[in-house]
Amino acid sequence: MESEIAIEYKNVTKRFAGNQYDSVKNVSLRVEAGTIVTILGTSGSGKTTLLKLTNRIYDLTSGDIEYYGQSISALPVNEYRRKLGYVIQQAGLFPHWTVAENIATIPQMLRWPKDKIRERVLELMQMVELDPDTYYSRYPRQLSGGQQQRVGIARALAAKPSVMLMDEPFGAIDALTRENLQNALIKLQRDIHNTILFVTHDVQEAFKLAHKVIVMDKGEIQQYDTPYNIISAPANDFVRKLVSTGDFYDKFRVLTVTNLIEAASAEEIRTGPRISDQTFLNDALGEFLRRGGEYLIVETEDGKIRGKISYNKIRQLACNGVSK
Amino acid sequence: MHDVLEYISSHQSRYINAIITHLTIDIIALTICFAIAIPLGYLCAKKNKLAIPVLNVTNALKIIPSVAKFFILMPFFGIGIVPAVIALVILAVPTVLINTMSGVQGIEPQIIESAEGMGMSRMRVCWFVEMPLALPMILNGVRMAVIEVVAGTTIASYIGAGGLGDFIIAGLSQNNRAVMLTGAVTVAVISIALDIILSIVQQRALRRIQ
Repeated sequence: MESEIAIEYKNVTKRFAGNQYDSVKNVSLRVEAGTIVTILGTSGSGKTTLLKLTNRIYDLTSGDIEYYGQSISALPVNEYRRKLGYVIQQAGLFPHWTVAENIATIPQMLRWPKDKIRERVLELMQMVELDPDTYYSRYPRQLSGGQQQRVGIARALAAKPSVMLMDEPFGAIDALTRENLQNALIKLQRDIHNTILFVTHDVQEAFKLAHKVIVMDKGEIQQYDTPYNIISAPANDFVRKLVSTGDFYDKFRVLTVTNLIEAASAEEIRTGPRISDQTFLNDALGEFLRRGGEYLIVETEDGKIRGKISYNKIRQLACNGVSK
Repeated sequence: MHDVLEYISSHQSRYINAIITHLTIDIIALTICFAIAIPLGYLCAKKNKLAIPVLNVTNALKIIPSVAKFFILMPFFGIGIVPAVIALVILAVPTVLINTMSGVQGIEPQIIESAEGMGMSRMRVCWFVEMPLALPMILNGVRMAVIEVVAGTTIASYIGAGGLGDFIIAGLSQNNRAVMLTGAVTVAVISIALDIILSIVQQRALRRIQ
């Protein structure tokens, strides 16, 4: 099934004034609407540059970027940016505005009526799990780093942008809070089906969040594929090195059961224990260790059966597939 | 002190007129000063190319002693209120400009980046984000400028601008302590009162952003 393309990069190149090299070099790829795409790379890989070209913070040196089929250079820059959510490290919240005022930034600019803004702010605060009774009138300085980033996400989502750009949003946040935020983001995206472009240098984070990962190095795309395909078939030495750090269990924490689903018989479906198709492999493995048995039945959030996952498949993957 | 009060009560209308003249000169000079220094300071914070020459000029102006400024302007603008205001503007602009500039430069770049990334226009970023965040520093400059100007206006009496300096000059020349103190104490009281008011305003602005 061909899905709609939200963002398309066409031979995108960026060279900053005074540099002898391209920070982003001839990048061509398509981002499907309704997916999370992470851009993974080390510092200097061009990942942030690629993101900032997308919302025109930087201008293209050559090539073109299309937003739902329209060249972004033809769109009025501020109107275009208001259609994108933008979240950066440390949130960049306005310290002199309350949480509610921060979240209302874009609706305010779009001159929504007051009660519609208020309603939307409350809805968004629920969405990012911040209690409006407590936090509505607080100032950013009264919030923890994780809470600030939740406000940052709510602010970016305020005007229902079809595409959200996130530049290492969880980079400065402690590991436990970061995991909470990652899970919240996955859940949120599953609910509202927006498109997210997410820059990170954290391999685990990139693979855990993404439907597809863009691996970048020296301004060039090394591989653009699903986490499973990148881990099981790295395109080159760079990607292989990147994904071979850590043991197989690290990979199990970022891959879901989706790729290992097999057809299940009616008998198996009737009797087998159920797990969600969003379950990460490590959790599935834990389930096998707890329950014993040969297979688990995989179902979607709304209870549709997708098939089964067998213990052997996971074992095989641990033995050769992922850890090579 | 008793003599001072007696002098004031016997020269009431002269005293009140002097205060009005003094404050009028201050208000005009400060208004012009803010109108020049705040926008220019903002532009300097944004454009490095502009900042260096502007800072060189303002530093040079700051080096000239206050008294000298008044007399340097005399050949060009004569005597009276006009040269006094010009001299006071020159006196106060560098302070406000430098404080505005460092206030704007001190804003975290992420805040500006996210504002622009969300599609705020330049004007909006300036008015709703940068100005409120730079306000405590700007007010710091304003506070210093107000004191400089109120004190400086006293010297402006030497070039015939009027104001409370007239009492000081008259008192000195007549060797009359009461007259001199009338001018000096009033200027001091006004300065201290304004400084207290402005420091409260500044604290409030600071509390909003910290």
